[in-house]
Amino acid sequence: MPALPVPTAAEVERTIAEQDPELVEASYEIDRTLLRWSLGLTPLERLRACTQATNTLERLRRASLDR
Amino acid sequence: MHRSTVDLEGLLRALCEREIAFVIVGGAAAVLHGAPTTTQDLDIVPEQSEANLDRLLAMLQAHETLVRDPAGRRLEPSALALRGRGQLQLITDLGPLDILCRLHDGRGYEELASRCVPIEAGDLHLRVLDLPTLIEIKSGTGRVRDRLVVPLLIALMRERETPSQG
Repeated sequence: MPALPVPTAAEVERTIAEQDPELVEASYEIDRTLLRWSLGLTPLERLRACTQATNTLERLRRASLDR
Repeated sequence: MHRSTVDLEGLLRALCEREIAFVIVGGAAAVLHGAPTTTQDLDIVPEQSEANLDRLLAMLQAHETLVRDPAGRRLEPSALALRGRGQLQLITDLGPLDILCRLHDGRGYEELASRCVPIEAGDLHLRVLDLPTLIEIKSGTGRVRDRLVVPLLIALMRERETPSQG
């Protein structure tokens, strides 16, 4: 099936702002440094970084429960 | 042996090796698009043909999959459940896997197929829900945890449109 035209960020912002302007406002407070770091990775590297971070958090959570 | 930790690459590889047709939605889709976030499971919407669901069930059985049951019962996913309209929260030997026969708004694989982008993750050829649709879905579920990620996804989309990002 052919992909439909993808809206731009500005179009998405307008749509979301009509429903919930706070979400758009909050998007301007996001740390762009992390976004740029992540966008500099390949998709496979992103998957691996996510897996590593998620599993580290899970181990920390379990360790805190065991204390 | 089931694991509470997740191996996203392993799960995707297991699905791709059996030539299962599916769309990646949820947190893993956000990550593949470049969101610097974590996710505790892989969410997929499978294509609903008999042959595809047979392959999916075989993959689940090969990975010792059980339903994540709050009561702790040992429930295996059934072919009937895969052919339904609900959502199966599963645990495999590669970590948690959520199979969404349909999204909360009723859209299934066929409806989402035109809202996907191909992403190559190493040798894995993946179909991932596009970022605008992911934002639309996350903002519309009514769940706080989905709403919280929307600002990040909007900022990500904006950043991707700046030169030299992608």
